Parts: sequence; C-alpha cells; structure tokens
Amino acid sequence: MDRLYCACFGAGGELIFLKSERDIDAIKRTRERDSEGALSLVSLQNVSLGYDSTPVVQAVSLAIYPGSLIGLAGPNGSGKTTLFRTILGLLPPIGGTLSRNCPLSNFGYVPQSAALDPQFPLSASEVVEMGAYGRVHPYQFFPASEKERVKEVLYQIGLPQLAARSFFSLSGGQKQRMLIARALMVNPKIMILDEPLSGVDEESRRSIADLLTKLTREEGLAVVFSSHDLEMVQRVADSIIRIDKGQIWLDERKARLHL
Amino acid sequence: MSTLFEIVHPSYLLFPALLGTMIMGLVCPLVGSFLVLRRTVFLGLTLPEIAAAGVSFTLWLRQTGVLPWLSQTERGIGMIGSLAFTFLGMGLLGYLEQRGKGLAEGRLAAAYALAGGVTILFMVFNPAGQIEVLNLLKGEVIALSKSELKVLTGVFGLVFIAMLIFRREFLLTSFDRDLAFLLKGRQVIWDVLLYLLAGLIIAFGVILAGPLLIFGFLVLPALAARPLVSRMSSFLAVSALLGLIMAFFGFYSSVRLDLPLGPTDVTLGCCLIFLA
Repeated sequence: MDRLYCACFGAGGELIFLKSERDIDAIKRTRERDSEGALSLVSLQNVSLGYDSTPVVQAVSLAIYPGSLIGLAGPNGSGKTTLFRTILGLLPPIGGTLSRNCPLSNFGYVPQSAALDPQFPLSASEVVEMGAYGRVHPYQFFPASEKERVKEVLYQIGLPQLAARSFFSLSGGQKQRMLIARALMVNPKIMILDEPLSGVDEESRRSIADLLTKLTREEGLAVVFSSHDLEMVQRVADSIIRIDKGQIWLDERKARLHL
Repeated sequence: MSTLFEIVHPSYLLFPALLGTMIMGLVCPLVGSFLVLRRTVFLGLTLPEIAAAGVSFTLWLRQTGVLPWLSQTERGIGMIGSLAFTFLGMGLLGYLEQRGKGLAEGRLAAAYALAGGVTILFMVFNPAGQIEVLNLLKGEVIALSKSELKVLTGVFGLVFIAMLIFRREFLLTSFDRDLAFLLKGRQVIWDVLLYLLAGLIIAFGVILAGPLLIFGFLVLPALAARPLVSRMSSFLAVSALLGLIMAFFGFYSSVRLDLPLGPTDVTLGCCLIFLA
C-alpha cells in the first residue's frame, strides 16, 4: 500500500486513511519519501481547538507531510482559521497532542490580505522583505543577498514589475501573490494560506492555484490552504479536509477521485 | 530675516531652547509614527496628561513635607513625578488591555479625563505652588538651560538610536503580529520596548516642553507625512523632517511674533496636515 499523505480520525473516532496522490509523479515522490522515512511536518492527535477553553472544533487528528497539497474547506466561522492559528502556535490547543517537526520559522503563513491594515505606507517589496526579518539582526542593514532573494521570489510569483508599487494599491490577487512571496522569503518547509483564493478574480485564482501546485510538485513544500468554496478546493487540492459544526473529516469523494 | 539669522547663532540666548525644540521635533515623530500606524494616537494624548498629573502630584507632595528628601529643584521633582506617573499609567493601561474589557478608546478617554482632573485637584491642594505647577505644565522650553539640554540630548538621542536599530522589529510587530510571532517569537518584548521609549520621551518632554507640544510633535508630523509617502522608510524620514520644520519655524514664529511656543508649534503642525 502506498504511503499516505494524510490521515485523519473521523468524528466517531474511527481512523480514516486517504490515498490522495494526484498523478504518477506524486506517487513516485511519495515512494521516495517512504524510502527516506519521511516524517510528518506537523501532526495533531485528538486535538481540541478553540478560545478560552471553549472548543470550536474537537478531536482533530491529522498529519501533514512534505509535498502534500491539502485544502481545508468549510463555511465561514467553522474554525478554519482557528485550526491554522493552532498549528502555527498562535493559539494553544485546548486538549490533545500537537507536534511540529520543524521550527516555527520554517512555517510560511499567508494571512487574509483584508486582515492587514491599509494605514501602513508599505511598498510591495517592503512587504516581501518582511519574510527575511527573522534572519536579519536589528543592527544590520538589510543585506544585499536578501535583496537578491526578494527579486527571485518576485520573479517566482510573476510580479517583479510591481515591486515598487504601494502594496495596498494592488488588486486582491496581486496582494495575495505578494503575501505568498513574503512567505517564500522565510524559506519555508510548510506553507499555510488562509483563504488565498477569496476576493480575487478568476485569472488570479488560476495563477495562485498553479503556483501552489508548483510549490508542492517542484519544491516539495507542504501546502495547506483554506477556502469556504468547496468547488474551488476540489479543483486545486490533492486532499480535502472538511470542517463544519465543530467537526473535521476527510472528503471521501475527493479521495475516490484519486484512487 | 534678521531674527532668523539671530536665532541660529550659538551665542543667541535662546539657542539651547531652539536646539532642544529641534531635537524633540526630530525624535518624537519617529515614535509617534508607530502610534499613528497602530491607531493609538490617543495614547499620545493621554500619556502626556498622565505625566502632567505626576508633576502636579509630586509638587503637592513636596509642599506637604511628607517626604523631606524631596527637596530638589522644581524641574527635578516634576521629572520624578512625570516619569513615575507615565510608567505607572502605561502599566495600568497595559494591564487593562490584557484583560481586554471595554473599548480601548474608552479606557484612554477615561484615563485622560482622570489625569486632567487629578492635575487640577493637586494644583488646588497646593495653592502656594500653583504658579510653578502651571509654568511647568505650560512647558517653558524657552528657559531650557545648557545642563537640561544635555539631559534632553542624552535621553532623546538614546530613543533616536533605539528607533533606528529596532525599526524593523517595531514595523513587523505593528503590521503583522502573527508573522512577528513566527519569526521573532513572543512579540510582547517589542511592544514593551516601543512603549518604554514613548514613555521616556513623554515623561522628559512634558517637563521640558509641556504636554501640548509633546503631543503635537508625536502625532502631527506623522499625520502630515502619511499622505505624502508610500514606503515605510520614507514615512519615518518625512515625519522626522516635518517635525524638524515644525520645530524650527514654530520657534522662529514664536520669537518673531512674541507668541507662546507650544500653541504656535501645534498650530503650524496642523497647517502642515492641511497642506499635505
């Protein structure tokens, strides 16, 4: 049996396995990973998530492996952002075990661009540079090597010409791609994107989806993104996790599609 | 024009006051820019008022003779009260913020009203010292001595250097706290440092220049600079430059037209905002 990308406990506590390789290449990568004894980057076992001891989602068990492209689908307010914040260590889990096999500085986080304050006068390149702040000491000038890296990631996302533009004057899709570039500046092993496809036009959606796929296929990053649009998640993700009404489960329809 | 050349000459009697005003005009906007961006402008209004309450309180305390060792100069005593009340006030506001009850603006408004009330009450309790309290709170920067200028240069120089060194950390923590946590760990240290620096310039500034001028220098240049720039580095530079312009031409107008410095500077700062 092929190694699994993602395993998750159902609401009743039963273990559900999902074989989610999209194509032969993915299966090859999975086998390679098997032979190397790949570890999950993040694993949650029976974790309850929420705020101030009030659970929003209970009994979450999942593991995220390198090279996986996971979509988290659920309506607004279902706990998608809460799950992400817990994985990122921004919220303590209420119960259960959460383990990370890479430091937090290897997590590339892409928040919803609407959550950022447009009051800040920032150019697009200044926003991207922030991804390198963890490596630059306070007394240092911003190193030339990091400036080069900024240029590289701007090419990678296809928007080098917008480096000098004001970040908040960009379109929704351009802002999202700039935030992805900022997350790439971290040199991440795993990227977590909160609703990267909402509020963007169709062309930008396609471009972001292609970029996420490329990051998993070519660079072996684990990518987890959320969306309230299930159809959109089905189009992009290899594996789908559904979240609603305090419960979390794997979407088996998607699993069957890829069996 | 002759006044202009006169005031910039080191032998001019009020030259230390001009230098002091310009140092405040340069440094305050750097801290104030972050208060504006964090949408905590009212903190820049409330903390000077709390510092003023501290000045009024310690001068009353000296008059009562409860603390006999408290027999320094007016400014020295005022400085102690200003520093103590500013940091106590910041601690209390921070604690209430952590508890997260009520509106942030409501807490600041209540603290402002309380500080204003306390300032006046301690002046009433201290009729003999009312004039000296009023003089201190008006901000007699014009009477700045060379030794006070040295203290001001030391404190504001320290804040200036810290703002330059930690500008990236302050930006990251202010703009995206989640990313700051992932890259730099607990971001509370940067909040504390920023507010500590703000507290220092407010506590010293209030006693040397008065609450009105300090509030003006903190927020007006930053508000005027904001529409003019689209980069953070330019924002800090333009804010500081406008602060310098406001300080210099405010001082010049004050001397030329024989007007009080604080209100003249603040009026000029507001004109800059309208022009921007």
